[in-house]
Amino acid sequence: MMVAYSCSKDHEAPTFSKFNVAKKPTNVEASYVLATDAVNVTWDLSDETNVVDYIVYVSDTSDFDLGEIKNEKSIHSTNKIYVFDVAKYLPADVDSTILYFSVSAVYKNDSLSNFIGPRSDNADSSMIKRVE
Amino acid sequence: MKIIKALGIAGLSLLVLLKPMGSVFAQDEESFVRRSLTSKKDAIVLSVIYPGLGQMTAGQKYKGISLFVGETVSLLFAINSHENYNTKQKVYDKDFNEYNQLVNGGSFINAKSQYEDLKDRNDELDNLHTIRNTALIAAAAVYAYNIIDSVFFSPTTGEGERVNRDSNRVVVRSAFIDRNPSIILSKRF
Repeated sequence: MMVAYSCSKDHEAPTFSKFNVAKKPTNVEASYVLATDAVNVTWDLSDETNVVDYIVYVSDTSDFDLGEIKNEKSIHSTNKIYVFDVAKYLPADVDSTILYFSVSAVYKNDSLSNFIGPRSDNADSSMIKRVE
Repeated sequence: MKIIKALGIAGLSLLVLLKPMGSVFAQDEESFVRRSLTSKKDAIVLSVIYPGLGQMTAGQKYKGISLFVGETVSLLFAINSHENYNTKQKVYDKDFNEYNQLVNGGSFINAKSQYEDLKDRNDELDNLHTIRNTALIAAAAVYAYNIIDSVFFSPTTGEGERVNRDSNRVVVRSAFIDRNPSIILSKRF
């Protein structure tokens, strides 16, 4: 009885396989368009299966969790482009700054529900310089 | 868990009950032989109650103490690792459920860090489980050996009585005393 009791294990090992289907976007590019005072952000994703949205992160440092504009996000459709309205996020008296962008895909399937996938490796930067 | 706690309490109770026998344990082996008038059946019953008790009462002091200590240490290890396991497992289960809930609106970053954390803690629980198993198997092995020993290898009642009888027997022998043949009668008290 003692040996049978000792063999029973009450805990279960964690598995990561259900999250591994999520892929990270690549080739994130951010370009500032002076005429519209906006940044166009584009990216690629090799496999868009089960992707329902994208999230674009904006920060004023390359370390997103330390930035003042941290984890600002916008939900997108799957068109893989986002127009970041600079005037909406930056005060008018800011003449120049550098913003960094990163992207995640949002997944939905039988096992995942609006699960935010891994962030893109390259957080692309864009120099914003307002002129009179 | 209740079984382990009951065994622990039983072990500690026996330690308290056996405290007055400390003076008996401290005596030499010969005194134990004289005290081995306890029947073999009694020795077996005591061995069933707790390993080593039967051997000690049957005069095998060192073997009895070794079995007693071996069983107690094994059980203490088992109880300690089991308690550790239970405490850590409760927290682990809670975090494990939270981890599984990340499929609903969670993020890959959180899932990755929680997975690494849970994996380490799962390894720790596995180690505690192994220690508990090993200690329980050791306790069971000591117990089994103790029973086999008390049934097959402990001194019988007859041996104990013979020792007693021999010590009280009247001895008649011949000897030369001052170059004269003599007869000596002796009795050991």
